[in-house]
Amino acid sequence: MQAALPSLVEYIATIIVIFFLSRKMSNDYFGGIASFLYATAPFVVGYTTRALPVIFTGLTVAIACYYIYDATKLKSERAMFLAGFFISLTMLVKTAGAIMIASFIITLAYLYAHKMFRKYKRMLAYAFVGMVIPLLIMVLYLYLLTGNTIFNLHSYAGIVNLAPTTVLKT
Amino acid sequence: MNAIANTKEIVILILVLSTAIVLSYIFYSGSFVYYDDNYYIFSAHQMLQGAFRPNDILFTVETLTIASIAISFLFFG
Repeated sequence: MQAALPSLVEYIATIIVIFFLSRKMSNDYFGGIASFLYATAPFVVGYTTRALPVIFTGLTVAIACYYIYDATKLKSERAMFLAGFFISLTMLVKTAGAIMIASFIITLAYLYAHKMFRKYKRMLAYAFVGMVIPLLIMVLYLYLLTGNTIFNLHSYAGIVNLAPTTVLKT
Repeated sequence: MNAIANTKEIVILILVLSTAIVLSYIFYSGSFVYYDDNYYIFSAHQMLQGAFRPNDILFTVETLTIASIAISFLFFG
């Protein structure tokens, strides 16, 4: 029970974030329906009884989405900083969160190419500063404990480079 | 987050959260089957003992997940 408790707390927190995000994007009912769909999704509920990073990853991405929406709507530098921060934080929760960081950077590049930041170039700087902070903490932590700043990526590369048909020798 | 503005929002949110809590309670009543979870739980125990170090096992590098489980163990045993 204690091992899965963080997943349960993160599940409740994600529902609240989804409610507020959807309400901001549309209205109360839309918020209610979106959060209800998340709350009753079988895989999501199933994973709340596990000690895995799945729900936590969902929470950090949901918070990042909330701030990305805020940043693009209100042109808020603070919101963009927090969006970058929470996107990067995903990588500390699950290493595959690197894909989220890449997606975020591609999105920013796309918006920049379409002149969305023409008057708000400082927002890009805030997004990058937000992204760099958790990554610096991660790199420092890994360097101190393993002597390798990208130890987590090396661990993942070992798995990714295995073909599905590889026979492992024990 | 913005402050909740009216009772309608509170009612909707409470309804959704109640559904979530009931569903979680039902699922928690079932048996626990741990697979990959064991690596995170073991790493969390090591973290509390101060003996944790990321190693070649993929799960040990996901620091915040392990830390959140360790905090749960710290407060609830």
